[in-house]
Amino acid sequence: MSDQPSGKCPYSLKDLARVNPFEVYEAMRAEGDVVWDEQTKAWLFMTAAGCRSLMQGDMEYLRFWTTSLGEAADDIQGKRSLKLLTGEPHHKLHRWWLKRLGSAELEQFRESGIRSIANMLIDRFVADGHAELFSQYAEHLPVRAVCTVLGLPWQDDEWVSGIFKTMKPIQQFFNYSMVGDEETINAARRATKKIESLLLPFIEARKDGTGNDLISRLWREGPELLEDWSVRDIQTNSRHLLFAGSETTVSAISSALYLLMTEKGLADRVRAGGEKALRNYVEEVLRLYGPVHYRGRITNREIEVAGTKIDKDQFVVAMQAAANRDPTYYKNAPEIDLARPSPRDHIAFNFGPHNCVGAGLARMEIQETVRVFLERLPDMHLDPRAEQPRLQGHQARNFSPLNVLFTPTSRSQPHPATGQSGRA
Amino acid sequence: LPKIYATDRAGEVNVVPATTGESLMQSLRQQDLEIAAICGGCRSCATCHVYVDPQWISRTGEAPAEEAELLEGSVHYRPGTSRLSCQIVVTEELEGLKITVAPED
Repeated sequence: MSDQPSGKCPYSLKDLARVNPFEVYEAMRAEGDVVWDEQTKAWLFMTAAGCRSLMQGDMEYLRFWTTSLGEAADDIQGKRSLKLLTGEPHHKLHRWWLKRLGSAELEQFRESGIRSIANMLIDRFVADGHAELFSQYAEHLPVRAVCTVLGLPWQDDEWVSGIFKTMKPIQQFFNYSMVGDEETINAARRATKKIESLLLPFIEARKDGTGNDLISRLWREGPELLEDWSVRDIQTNSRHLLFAGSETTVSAISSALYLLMTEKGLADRVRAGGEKALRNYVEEVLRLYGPVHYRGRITNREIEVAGTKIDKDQFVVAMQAAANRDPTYYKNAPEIDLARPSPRDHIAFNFGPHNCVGAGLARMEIQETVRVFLERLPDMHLDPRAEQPRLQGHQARNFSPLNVLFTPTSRSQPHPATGQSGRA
Repeated sequence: LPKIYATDRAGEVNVVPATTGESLMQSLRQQDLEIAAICGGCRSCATCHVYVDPQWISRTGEAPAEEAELLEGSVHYRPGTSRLSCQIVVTEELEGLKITVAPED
């Protein structure tokens, strides 16, 4: 038998749609380290230690909550994807992705790939003196970054835009379906099929497996990863990276830009602190406003975690955005501290065997965004006459819209304040 | 408790009391040595990367193939001395072990 909740939690995940959730997280944590959400019928883990303990057992005694959806999960996530594989097949594929997206291979993309894309996007509005950065920048960079490493046509606006729009229903599915929305499931299944069809010509074209892009390498190295490796596995892996590497990083980029403009003196401190301050700032953004607020699982057996006994087949949720502000774990938890010890000691990229394989790529995109905006738009600020940003979403959250004003400059001329052209 | 001499990213040597039977990663994390260890120690990331002093590598052993595959993903990988600290179990024989925390990726 599961433990009885010590008190009835007056708040629910279902109440959190489209509101700033952080005050609610604090109120939930005040009810206990592990609280029962009656509306969602789920156990919520609210602390840094509790979330780590819970997710440590992922795959062993936990499975993805989506498995309760049966074939829909197989369709949307892929039966043989990083999400749904378990045991050694998962470890093998996970190791492969970590290595391919590790710094040894990624650093080559920092300047020629990520920074170039950032500059290209800024060039499109830098002469205007105003922009809406969520739709004109944040939504464009991550999908292009992933296309770069996969060897897809990131310069083709129409194609990239088509892929991004097609992924929207899948984003909606992960954002809201755990709190109940049947239609999103069917829309996400249709979107998955469409993305696979959009990817297929590029995958087929790399069949000889001779290139250095990751699709070619999946052709070449895939047969050593899983038995009966097929084009379907390459479709699954490619779209998984496209999806997982897009919306989450869009959100993190929007948070990084929003905080730079709204925390007094922060931009100056990051600029003055050099590379270390810039990198630590990105970690603080991830800790305080990590895009994925929670991750849901189902127990494979009875467990006892963080002092709470929970039956088999129960919903459990690691509330990572709450855990990353746990005052028993972080000194001055709600503050941005550019000198915080162990700045990467957060769980924005999850914890346990399902940690995010794209963390290095996401970090690089946020770092380069902050760097390029500090250089090229040093006086950027929110437009007081336009709609103000709100923390939108549910499972994944972003600050939007980001209507900003800045001193217009020419695409190729140095900025009058920094003397830099911003060109990579 | 065996003492481990751990050089941090600032170049400072820290004396770390390590617990036998536990992983080296767990002891290093107690000391705020910037060991993120986001997989929790199940050999599914490379965020507890350390360099073992060459004089000690015969006692810790070099990284086996699957561990090396993870380490090779880092631009800071050094064949022969790079290890995941979660894969080194502390024993009495490691009294005096010298390691250096690898740079951040």
